[in-house]
Amino acid sequence: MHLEVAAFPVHQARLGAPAAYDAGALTIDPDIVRRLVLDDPRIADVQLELAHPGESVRVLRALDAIEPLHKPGAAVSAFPGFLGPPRTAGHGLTHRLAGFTVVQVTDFPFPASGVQAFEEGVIEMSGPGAAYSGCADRVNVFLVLTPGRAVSNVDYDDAVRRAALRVADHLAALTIGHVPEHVETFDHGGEHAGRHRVVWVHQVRAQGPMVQSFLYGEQISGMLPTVLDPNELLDGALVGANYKTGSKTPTYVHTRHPSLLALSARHGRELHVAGVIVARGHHENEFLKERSAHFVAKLATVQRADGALCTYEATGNTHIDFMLTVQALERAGIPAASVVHEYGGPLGDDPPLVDFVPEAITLASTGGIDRRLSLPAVDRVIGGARLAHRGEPAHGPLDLPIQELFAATATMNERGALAVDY
Amino acid sequence: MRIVHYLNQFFAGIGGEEHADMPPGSRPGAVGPGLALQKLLGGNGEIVGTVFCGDGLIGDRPDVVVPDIVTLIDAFAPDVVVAGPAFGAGRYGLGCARVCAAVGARLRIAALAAMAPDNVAVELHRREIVIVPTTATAVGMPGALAAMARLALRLGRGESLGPAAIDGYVPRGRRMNTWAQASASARAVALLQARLRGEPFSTEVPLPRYDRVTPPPPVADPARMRLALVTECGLVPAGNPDHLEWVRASKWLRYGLDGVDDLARGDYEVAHGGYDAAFAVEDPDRLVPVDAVRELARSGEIGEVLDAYYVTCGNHGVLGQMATHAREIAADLRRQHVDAVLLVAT
Repeated sequence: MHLEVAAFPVHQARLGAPAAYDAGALTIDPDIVRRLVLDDPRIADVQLELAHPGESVRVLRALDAIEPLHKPGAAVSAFPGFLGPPRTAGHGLTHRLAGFTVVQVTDFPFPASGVQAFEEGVIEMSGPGAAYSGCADRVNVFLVLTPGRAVSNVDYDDAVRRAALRVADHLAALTIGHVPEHVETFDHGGEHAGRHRVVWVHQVRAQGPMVQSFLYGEQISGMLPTVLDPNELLDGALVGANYKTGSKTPTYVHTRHPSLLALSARHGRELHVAGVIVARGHHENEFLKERSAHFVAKLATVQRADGALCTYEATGNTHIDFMLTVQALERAGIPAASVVHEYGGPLGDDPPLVDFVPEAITLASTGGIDRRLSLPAVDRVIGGARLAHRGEPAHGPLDLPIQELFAATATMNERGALAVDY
Repeated sequence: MRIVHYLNQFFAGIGGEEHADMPPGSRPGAVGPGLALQKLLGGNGEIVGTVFCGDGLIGDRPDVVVPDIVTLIDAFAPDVVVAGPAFGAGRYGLGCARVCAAVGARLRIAALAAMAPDNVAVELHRREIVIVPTTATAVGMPGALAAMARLALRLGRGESLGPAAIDGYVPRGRRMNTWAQASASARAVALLQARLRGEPFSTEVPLPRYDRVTPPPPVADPARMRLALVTECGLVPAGNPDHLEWVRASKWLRYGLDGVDDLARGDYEVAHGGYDAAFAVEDPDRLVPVDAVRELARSGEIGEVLDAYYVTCGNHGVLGQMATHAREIAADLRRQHVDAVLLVAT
């Protein structure tokens, strides 16, 4: 599978007409975006907001964030299953608005409790929270949405996801006819005798509505682990729909995951990438967790893997699925090196892991997620006057644990955070 | 910089085991290993005094002896206190650690001890003092003294230490966030490659040690027992009057069940962000099964049910805090003469 990804970086975005991409400057036509979004009656209204890195901006009620992709003139679309039929992506040419994200911001129309209650991730575009906050180092357009004629929160969520992907597709298509800043080639084929074959086990979360992931347009609840070429992820095979504060993996991370980039960069030279095993996290019981763990180990064996890089989308319950998977791999004779986020309490003196198996002897840390941050007041707030789950006024100073920032765990992995003993 | 050195009777040159009950004493300047330590300190610091005590005495009567030792140390007005190295000697290690801990607590002066990582004093005191790891025997004296000199000068200048692995001390049980050049995924790939190639590797997250809870024996006569309902499910009266947090709960609560046979829909809500509570909102007995235990009590299968349930929220619970909640709830259960608990987990 041979994929060329053409990067069109966005350094500056503005609202205006006509919609255009020109050498790092993106002009977004609000009328076109409105039309694309309001095409679905389940959404009543949309306002557009922009934010650039370093601005004194705080964003509430952010759901998913998408880096726009478009496959010019191809039979297969980016984000297959959503923007086109669920046909295998990962080959040909893909245009990418590098460093830019479309972010949905909204409340849900119906009350919910427990895990279905909305736990927003807060985006801090500047200050001490920005280091841990997803999207803080990116140029963002926020689609601030008002629910329309949706019959349930799940129904509305579906409308929101599809609308954001339509907007992302439109924006990425503005690059057609322009010269990319650079083109990356991804091809994980070939035979590399003497190189270790490594699979990436990508455990993503599906607990139910509001805590979900989509593979080729379908939710992964009930899915058995399956094998993909890494290129499929680069084209948007996985779309995030997990709205749990810091633990979510947004779509822009699925399409540029640090695991994929780390392995691809070494393919053919230091190792051979033997595929991605996408597995579900958060099975309801021990039986299903064990079944999934052993399917992962079996698929890795079928892929003739010598080793596995394992990552997972938080948190506690999914961590148990994850550790069982590490154990199953190790017992199948496939050494597993894993990425884990840590707890440890506000001071870092509490035990760092929810659960572990004795086989987990090669762990990389993404740092402690429950250390607290003092965030200063901000000039501008997007997405409401008060925090959704805490009720605190949004403009003022906030004292939060890191894990309440948007996509904190994925961001800490990407940017190289770790916890060390003192 | 003024430095005071603590030694046992042997390294102070007084004598061996026959002098283990020697009371605390002090001398100006450096003594024994302190002479070599002074050379390593050079002109940056001066050992102004040496304080010593018999290992047996400080081991048997720390409550009496340690305050006297602290007074002797204080008389030299030090900027920093060093103790040992004690290597693998358990009583000497404990003496060093207790003196350092007391110096920190009472004089608010930085102190460091040196001993082998498996010295019994390390696990007891590593969270409160700085410990320089040494070999098990005095063969490692030069290295131990060099590390002590380096860290004593930094502590004496009021500097805070960097990561344990870099600054060379025993981890104090705190993990702090920092940043590496590479993503965590890239570092995991490097760990995997080292392991596959048979090269040395070192995990970034040492596996923690957790307590194992031994279940108590079964209740001898259930028909006479008093049963209580305890849960981390976050079920609270509607409106959450005591503001139980939906995540990282800072409290536990007890709610009365006097005259309640069945938890009515609408009277309760769930303060817990970790599971789908829709079924519980429909019927709160699915979380706190008052209806079922009342029925068991009526039919005589169990003795009686405590007229209250205990609740906290387990979602993202900080382990240390949860252990405190558990101890407090257990103590309260004892006061209520409860024989057994139905612990509902989510």
